[in-house]
Amino acid sequence: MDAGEYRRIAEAYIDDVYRAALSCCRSRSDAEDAVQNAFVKLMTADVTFTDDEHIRRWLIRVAVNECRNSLNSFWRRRVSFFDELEQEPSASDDERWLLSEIGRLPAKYSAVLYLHYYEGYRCAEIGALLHLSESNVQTRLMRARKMLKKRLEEA
Amino acid sequence: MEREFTQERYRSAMERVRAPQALVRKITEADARIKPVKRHTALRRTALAAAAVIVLFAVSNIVTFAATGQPWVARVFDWDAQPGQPMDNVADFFRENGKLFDSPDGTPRRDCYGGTYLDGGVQVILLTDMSRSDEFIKPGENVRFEKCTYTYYELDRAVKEDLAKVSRLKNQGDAIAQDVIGFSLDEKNNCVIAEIYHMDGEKVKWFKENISGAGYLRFENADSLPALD
Repeated sequence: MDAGEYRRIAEAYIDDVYRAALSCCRSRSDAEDAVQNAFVKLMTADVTFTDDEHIRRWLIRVAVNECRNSLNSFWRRRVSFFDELEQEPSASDDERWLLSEIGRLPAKYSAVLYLHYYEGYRCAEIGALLHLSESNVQTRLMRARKMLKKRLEEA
Repeated sequence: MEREFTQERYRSAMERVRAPQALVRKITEADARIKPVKRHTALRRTALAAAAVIVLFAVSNIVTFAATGQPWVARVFDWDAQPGQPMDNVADFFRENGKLFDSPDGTPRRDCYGGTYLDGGVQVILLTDMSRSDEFIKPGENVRFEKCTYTYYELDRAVKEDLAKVSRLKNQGDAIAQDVIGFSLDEKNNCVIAEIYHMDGEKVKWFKENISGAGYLRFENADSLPALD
């Protein structure tokens, strides 16, 4: 991959990869680390990609795996995802409120929620990515929806 | 305000989350700093490095062999120079450093040469008459002379003669002769070693009466001898 191609891919997909990482890590710093590692691996990996979508999905998978590793790390930063998302400057009040509610969800729920509702991954794909069974992913999605619904009703 | 969770609202809210500009800059500018290393490239480099080491090893040994007659690896791992061990090939040593049996005027030296061995890299030459050391080679850093009682010629002849006597008695069916395993010439200790199976006082007495009672003989129990390498 030449420098121009890499730059185009980085600019096109960095937000998607960052959102996926943030949903899994719940910490902006850990997410940034995961995104950087994913792009470094893109440069150094000996992988043949079929198209841009293949690259995008590969980057998301690597970033999610990096997040899973960082969650297992003793040194991981214990910063609330909720506090960081609430401060997103470009969001409207309604969006900021929804983001804050998403941010209050446990990481295991926010990750599957993002991958399913934003990235459009099927439950089986999410299961393969997060090393979970398909039924486990479905359960997490259902619980995440219920938790959000309850909070929306209470608000 | 109606607050309901839908995929559209979720996507719309998440769209607002964007990678920080600092991170975007760091990643898009990283291409100039990190170059990808393909697997086959890494393997090729490793193979080339290994080949270079092998060539260097071979060439340096050839050069030192041409210059000194011995490759440097043999000098580093000096297998032959074991301290205190008798020399394997005495003839080779004297071929390079002097003559063993014949003086320049043709006088045989079998009457004073007692044997030789290596002691920590120093060649020790045993002589029954130390005054004749200059007939061999001049003493130096690598050569030392020691006084001994018996000549190499005497000991060597004794081994052959005693071995012949034992063989004759073995053929005659002598029971104790069967237990005499063999003889060896110990140059370092200037003696002949007779090895006897299940050695005891009676067998030693028999040996001294029937084979030889010479002072250069030492007896060793063949049972307790260390196994040969």
